[in-house]
Amino acid sequence: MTQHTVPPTVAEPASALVLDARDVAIHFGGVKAVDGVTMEIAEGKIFGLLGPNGSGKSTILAGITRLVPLKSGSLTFDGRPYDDVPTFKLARWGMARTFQTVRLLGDLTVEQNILLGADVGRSSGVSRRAAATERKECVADVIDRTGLAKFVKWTPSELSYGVQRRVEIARAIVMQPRLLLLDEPVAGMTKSEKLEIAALLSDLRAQGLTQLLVEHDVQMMVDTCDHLYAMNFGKLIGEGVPADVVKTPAVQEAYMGKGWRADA
Amino acid sequence: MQELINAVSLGCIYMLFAMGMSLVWGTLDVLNFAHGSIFMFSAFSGFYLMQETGNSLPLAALLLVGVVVGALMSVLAYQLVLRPILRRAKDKDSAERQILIGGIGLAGIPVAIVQIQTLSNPFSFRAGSFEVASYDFLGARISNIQIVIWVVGVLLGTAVVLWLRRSRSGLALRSIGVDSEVASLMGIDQGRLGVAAMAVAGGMAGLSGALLCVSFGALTAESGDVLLLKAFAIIILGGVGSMLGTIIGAFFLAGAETLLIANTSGTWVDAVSFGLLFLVLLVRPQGILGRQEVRRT
Amino acid sequence: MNKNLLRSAGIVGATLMTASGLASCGGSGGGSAAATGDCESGLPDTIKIVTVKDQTGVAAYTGTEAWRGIQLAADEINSGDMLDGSKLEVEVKDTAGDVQTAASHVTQAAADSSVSAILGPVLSDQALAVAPIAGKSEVPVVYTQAGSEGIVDEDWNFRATPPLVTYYPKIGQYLEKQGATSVNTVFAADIPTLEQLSHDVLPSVGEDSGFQVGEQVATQSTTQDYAGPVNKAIADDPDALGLLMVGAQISSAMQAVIQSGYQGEVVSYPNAAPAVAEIGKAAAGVTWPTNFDSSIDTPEVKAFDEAYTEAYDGTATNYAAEGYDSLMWVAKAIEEEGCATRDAIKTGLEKVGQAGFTGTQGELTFEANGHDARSDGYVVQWDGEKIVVLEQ
Repeated sequence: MTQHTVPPTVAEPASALVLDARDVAIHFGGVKAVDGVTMEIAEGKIFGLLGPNGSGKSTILAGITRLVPLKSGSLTFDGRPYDDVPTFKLARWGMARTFQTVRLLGDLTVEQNILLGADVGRSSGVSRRAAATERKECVADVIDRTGLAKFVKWTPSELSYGVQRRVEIARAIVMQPRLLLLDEPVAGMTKSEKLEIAALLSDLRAQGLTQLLVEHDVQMMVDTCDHLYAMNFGKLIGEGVPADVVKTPAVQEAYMGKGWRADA
Repeated sequence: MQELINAVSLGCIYMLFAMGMSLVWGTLDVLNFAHGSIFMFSAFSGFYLMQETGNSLPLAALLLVGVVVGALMSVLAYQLVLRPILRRAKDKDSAERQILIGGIGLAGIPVAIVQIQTLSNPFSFRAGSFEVASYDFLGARISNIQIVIWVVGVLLGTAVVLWLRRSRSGLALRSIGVDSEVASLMGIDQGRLGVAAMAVAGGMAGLSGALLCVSFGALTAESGDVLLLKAFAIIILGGVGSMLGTIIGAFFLAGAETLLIANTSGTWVDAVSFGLLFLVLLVRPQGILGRQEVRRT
Repeated sequence: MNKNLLRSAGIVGATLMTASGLASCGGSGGGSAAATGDCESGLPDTIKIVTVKDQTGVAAYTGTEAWRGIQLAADEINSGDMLDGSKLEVEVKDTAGDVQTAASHVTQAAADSSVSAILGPVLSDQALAVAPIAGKSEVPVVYTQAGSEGIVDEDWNFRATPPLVTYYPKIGQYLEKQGATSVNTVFAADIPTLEQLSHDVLPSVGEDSGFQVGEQVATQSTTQDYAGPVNKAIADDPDALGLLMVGAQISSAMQAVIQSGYQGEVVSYPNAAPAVAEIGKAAAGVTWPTNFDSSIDTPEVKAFDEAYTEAYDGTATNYAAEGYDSLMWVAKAIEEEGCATRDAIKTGLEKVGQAGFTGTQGELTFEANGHDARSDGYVVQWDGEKIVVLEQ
């Protein structure tokens, strides 16, 4: 289990950080998948985490969402340390994520999949009927925004890959999260599908949703993100304005031959 | 006609027993081999209370005792043994193996207790305030306990299916079964829902135990074992995780057994029902209504 | 029985005794004064008898009841002066329903030279495993229950319970009186004795008693729902229905008969006793032949039932009666020979057996050279509240 290496900060007034991951290390046996990474995710922006396959991007997401234990380091969400908070509570606090591979629930319809997200933390304070009404409106709204209206009664296996990814995003944003973690949301998509998703994310940012986008599509990262972290071999190799970060030698080396355009 | 009545009654009992087992298997990945002994011990608790109260408990009280004891035992088994196993297991395969062994070990305890208490004799709810009577019904005989079994079976069967299909907690439970990581990221508290599912499963096992003890006249410490194997076959037949499949499986097996007894020598019953199981495993490994594996493609 | 025959049997026994006495002297032995010595000094102060019967597990009830009967017999023998002041020392080993355990207990007891005789297990599978050990180690073993064939075929093995199939024909008298001409059965096909009752015994009884056995519905030990089998068996409305299965299955089958509305005669076998008591009034009229019932009116049964009730509450069971008779048989054998060696007890058991004796199971005669008990049996009926004796 994780341990507090840093004592929890006492009522630090509204640091604008939504997520503060400090010196995070995650080891699998002898493999240092993540080795001392610090990320400060501030409110209202899209942060990017760039890195080649196997660089530890997905692992750190798993650590942030408490699906795997940290070897060391600390995690704070909205000023609250959560090193030993179970995942389901984190979700109720407002952290949502999508997965690298589509993980929709195959025997539920699109609507039911999205409804699942809509249930998070909405049973307190209001009457059941009011909650149900709100939930319904919320789901309808999200379905509308993600353009899934005609697929609501379909099951995931009947949908194209791009649409499945959109359902996953819809399921995450219907939770009305504080922070949305996206693990390679455009992997395997056509160019037009990618643009659609990028537009959707920008849209969400406009509505104030903080996002951490994990990708190895350099072009998309440069186009979409406000702030970029670059990672390789479990360590950060660069951080800052996206267009600058991707030009640093370390990142270029990591991406040699990937065919990106530095002048984008 | 008589065959039909008998088959439906038997199917209801199989269904009540197997549904709970299927529920926790499909959602929590708990193939609970202690389900049969929970069933038996719940009925035994009713028997014990009957003795202590001078055979004065009405049927409803016996059924209630069955439900409460069954739910309690099932939850205890989950919290004290099965859940720690699930939590500690390295991977899914070893978890399944250890759950299996853990369940078999657990099952032994109530069986041993009852064997010692009864000296392995049958126990029954001595004709208390409930007399079994039977009536003519469309040229066949139907008994009052059969009617109770039908009513309970239909109500509970429908309730569980609706719960899983329509309610939010049911939806959440199903999502755990498909992908527990995603479920927890949707804010679903698997601990609490797991306890709820185990309680429902155990309660249904206990209820069927009490009903069966009245309907069959008596149970023994080992009665749960036979039923456990049949439920196993039923769930495989219907498809793990599918409630509708389990219901179909239960009535299919009950129907097949009743027809076999009516038309052949009764010694074929087990051979044919388990032959069916093999056939299903060969032809349609996911069962009649089993879902395709969709996770982590 | 013919006196000459008795005498010659005695001679045969004595010869055997000498022969085996010699063998044990020259062999690996392990003999001690009590069980394998000679008889010149008369009876020892204590005679050790080991009981090997299920006290836990599937046959716990049968085994513990038998042990109760054995203890009652030991008390009676020791408090009287039957064995010239010498005392029986009985102890029990639990086989826990397990063949291996039974075999190992008997092997141990046989190796203990202070043990004079063994009262063997109640389950046939255990008895079949134990019988050859008795023969090899030359220790007399007396069984109760254990009704399978082949158990007393081995020398040194004796059985104090008349096998069910031997007194079951008594039911014929009852069925004839009821004017039954057609009998159907539901039976557990994987229990050899019950299969034999349905397929062989009942049909042959029917030839003498004027009924025919029609539909015989086979079920298994795993059968729990008897609605189907019973339904099939009463489809042609027979005059009588035989229910032949074990344990909870009898209750289930009777419950199914009651629910079916069947009005004819229901016959069963001694295992029906607890089931009818559980069901109560609704089971009134169920009839079966038995080797013992506490309500049978003989001095032996009355005395035994009184002693049983005083010691354990409740009424005496057939298993207890059999246990009692088995130890009494051993005691009579020791008395007969005036000697408590294994050889003497074997000879004594044979002599007492060939002569027959009256026990709690009524007048016992013995077949297989005095090794295997027989009795005429009784026919008893559940009247809704208690068991009454119809044919004595």
